[in-house]
Amino acid sequence: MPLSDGEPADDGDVWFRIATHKDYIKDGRVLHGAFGGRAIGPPDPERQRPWDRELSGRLRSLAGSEAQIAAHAEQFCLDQTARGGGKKVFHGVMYSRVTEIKKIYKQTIHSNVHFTPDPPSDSAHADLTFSGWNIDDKPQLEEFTIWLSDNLHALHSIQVEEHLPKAEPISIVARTISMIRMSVKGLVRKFSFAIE
Amino acid sequence: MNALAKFEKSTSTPLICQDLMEPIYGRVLLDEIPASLTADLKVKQSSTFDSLVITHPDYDHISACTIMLSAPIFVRVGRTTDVKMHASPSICLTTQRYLFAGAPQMIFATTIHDSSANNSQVCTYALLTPRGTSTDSLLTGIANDSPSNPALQALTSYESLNQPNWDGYDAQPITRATLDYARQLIGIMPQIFGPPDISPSGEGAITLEWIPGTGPLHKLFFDIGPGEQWRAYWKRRSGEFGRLPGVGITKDTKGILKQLFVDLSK
Repeated sequence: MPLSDGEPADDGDVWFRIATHKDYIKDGRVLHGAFGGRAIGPPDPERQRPWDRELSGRLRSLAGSEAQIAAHAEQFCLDQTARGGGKKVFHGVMYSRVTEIKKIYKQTIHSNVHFTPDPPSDSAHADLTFSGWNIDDKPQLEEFTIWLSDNLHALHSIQVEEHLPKAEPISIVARTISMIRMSVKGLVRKFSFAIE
Repeated sequence: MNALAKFEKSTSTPLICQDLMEPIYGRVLLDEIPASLTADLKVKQSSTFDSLVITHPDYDHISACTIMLSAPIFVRVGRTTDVKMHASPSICLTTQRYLFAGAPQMIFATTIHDSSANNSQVCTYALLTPRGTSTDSLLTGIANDSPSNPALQALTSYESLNQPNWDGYDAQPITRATLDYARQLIGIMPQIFGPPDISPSGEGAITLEWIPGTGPLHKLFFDIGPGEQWRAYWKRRSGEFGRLPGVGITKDTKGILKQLFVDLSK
């Protein structure tokens, strides 16, 4: 079944985001400067999304071949260059497999990936989403930034073709196990929190 | 070359020495803000120079700034290197601005200094530092501007990120003031964890990070700016999170940073 707008991505899919500065990528890591400014923001209120913050990106399963991914990224950079602010260059991507980024941060913030197509420019658009957002000051955001940087990988543009993981179909059994694992993790964290 | 090259003032403008500032280097004393000033400094030892340091004697030299040369220049003994400084358009307490043309053996710098805090005396130092030289023991707050410092080299490349949306995701511009401040902070940053990874941030800041492979520290992030503020925050392998913010650069800043890095290494 094809995804509908706003649906969570398949666990086996891969979320990725275009990096437009070379210094955001180092030794397979995303440097945290990539999360600054308006990178993580609230969703458009008109869309009435069930999450509180989002980091825009794309879904590997819908983005096509590696060549199409690169072509889209380069077009994105051209479009953004036309908007002003200097020349943008496709330097690489930050990414995570969906199942690896679906986590619960500090018993409250649930991260996930949701399909948010943006036709005609990006029919593979997807957001890394955060619900239960309770961060309202700088120290909390800083701690969250460290956590987020722990959970994303990065590739230079020349590495994308060879190393960006492909989406893998997740079986019903695996999906069920994943859901159970998430539930157990949540319960364990709540229990740990309670006995502290 | 590991020692500071010595300069002497080669014009009739008197060279004033202070014990504090030994060894001697070229210095120009100004009684008033000039429209422009040319100070030709004669090097006593042939050297290759990478940078120009401009500092102010007030505030224990904390308002120093470093200009990396676009290409190293070689100055022979007996030759004069012209340093031009312009004070315009007005006196300002905290802002320093400069333009650098980068032509060989000709340095154009614009700097704005405060004259009110030091007996109404405006005094600007110009110091050319040889390749690989640390000014650390001589002056507080001056960047160690060796070209091998990748963070300082990166800052030069960030000068083009001075417009909104430089990243395509609605980033805030990175101002010259933020870059100048970052140069000063990076210059006094402890080396315990080695050189940082550096990147620009969409909020108009400069971000540094250290991820030691071993030891109790998992990650140390250090955000500089926008403007003259910094925030260090870290996570130990134990999971403990900590943070330390700061503003400006004072005579204590270097010691505070050193203590922080030492603490995080234990």
